[in-house]
Amino acid sequence: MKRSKPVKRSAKRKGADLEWIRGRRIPSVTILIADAEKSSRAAATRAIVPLRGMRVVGEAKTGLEAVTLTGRLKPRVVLLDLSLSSEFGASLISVLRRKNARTRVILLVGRASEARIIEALSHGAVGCVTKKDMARFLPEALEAVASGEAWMSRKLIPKIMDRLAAFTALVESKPRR
Amino acid sequence: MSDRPKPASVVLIASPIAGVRSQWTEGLEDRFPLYEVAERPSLERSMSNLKPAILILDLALPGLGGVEGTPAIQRLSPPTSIILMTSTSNDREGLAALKAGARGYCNLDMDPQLLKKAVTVVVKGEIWVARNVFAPLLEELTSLTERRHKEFPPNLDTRLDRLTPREREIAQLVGGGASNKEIAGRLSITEATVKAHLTAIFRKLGLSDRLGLALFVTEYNRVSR
Repeated sequence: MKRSKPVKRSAKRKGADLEWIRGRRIPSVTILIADAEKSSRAAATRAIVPLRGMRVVGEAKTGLEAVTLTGRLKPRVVLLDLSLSSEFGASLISVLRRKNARTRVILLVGRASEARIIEALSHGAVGCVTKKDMARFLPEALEAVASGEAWMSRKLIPKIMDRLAAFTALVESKPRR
Repeated sequence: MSDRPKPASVVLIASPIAGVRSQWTEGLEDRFPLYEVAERPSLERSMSNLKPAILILDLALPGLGGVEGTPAIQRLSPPTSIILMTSTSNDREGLAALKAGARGYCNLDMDPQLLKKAVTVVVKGEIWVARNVFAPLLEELTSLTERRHKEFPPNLDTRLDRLTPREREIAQLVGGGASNKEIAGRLSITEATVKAHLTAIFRKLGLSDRLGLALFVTEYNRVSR
């Protein structure tokens, strides 16, 4: 009882403490939100607060903060704004994954080309949700990713297959003497 | 996008079991012209002659040889999109199906209405697989990417190329954890010069500080090793 620590940031929200108390006995899925824009972080939080067993443990405004906080808080899921990952190239995702092996990365995508999304997925992100659809799809995506699955739009699959085929051809045609 | 053959989207159904064929037919007959076959020789003939838009293929068809047997069928009509149907759905086989060129991988006893949706999506040029195939698909993508980066190191991140040789040297030293003082000593320059170089490096790489640079260099070295 005494060891429970309310989450300060979300406790301000109406009803948040109630959710906290209700969800307390279930080991929750811990979430770090990494996005430069305050409005996106707020939208993500809004989508998460009503979810049972999900808990925002921190917020990061830069890629570097995301790396530091992932190391410190060891969140199960990092919601990462795709445009933040430009700070280190898509490899920010590999860095996050190595900070904590259990951490899974879901991309939050504003306006981005499919090519950039696929680049990020190929560095180990396992989910992708467009920002305008967060209220609708973030709960599903978090659920899937926390249970070891991946979550993205079906429409990305043909592009991914193209890339796999290109890689396979490249690797197989590689002259090795 | 839609350079697939459009006219009427003929669907060919191939399963040895009549009950299975009729279940599939149920969802599709009001929407697509259908043809049914029950064995491999007639499947081959129909593929060559009809060149259907879609082939819904039972993996248990005798003589098919499972997922590995599908490319041979595909060659009879390259523009046909093949949807593989299985009674023992698993994510690894799903991935193998996609890699063999299938545009869909579904449960044999899938709900007829859902099958209709799957076929409609595949006709549009998309791919239909169960969600549990997404994870192994992305794992494959990640591991192939890592492998490629190991085997084809250059032009990975060209941002380091924007630096002068001296700046690159300093960046590497920061990556190794050296302080400004140590760097100055190593390169026989003043600390003020080191700082000036660092400012230029941060600007060129779009980084805000030393830790960012250290992470960047570490990552760069790891990937291009």
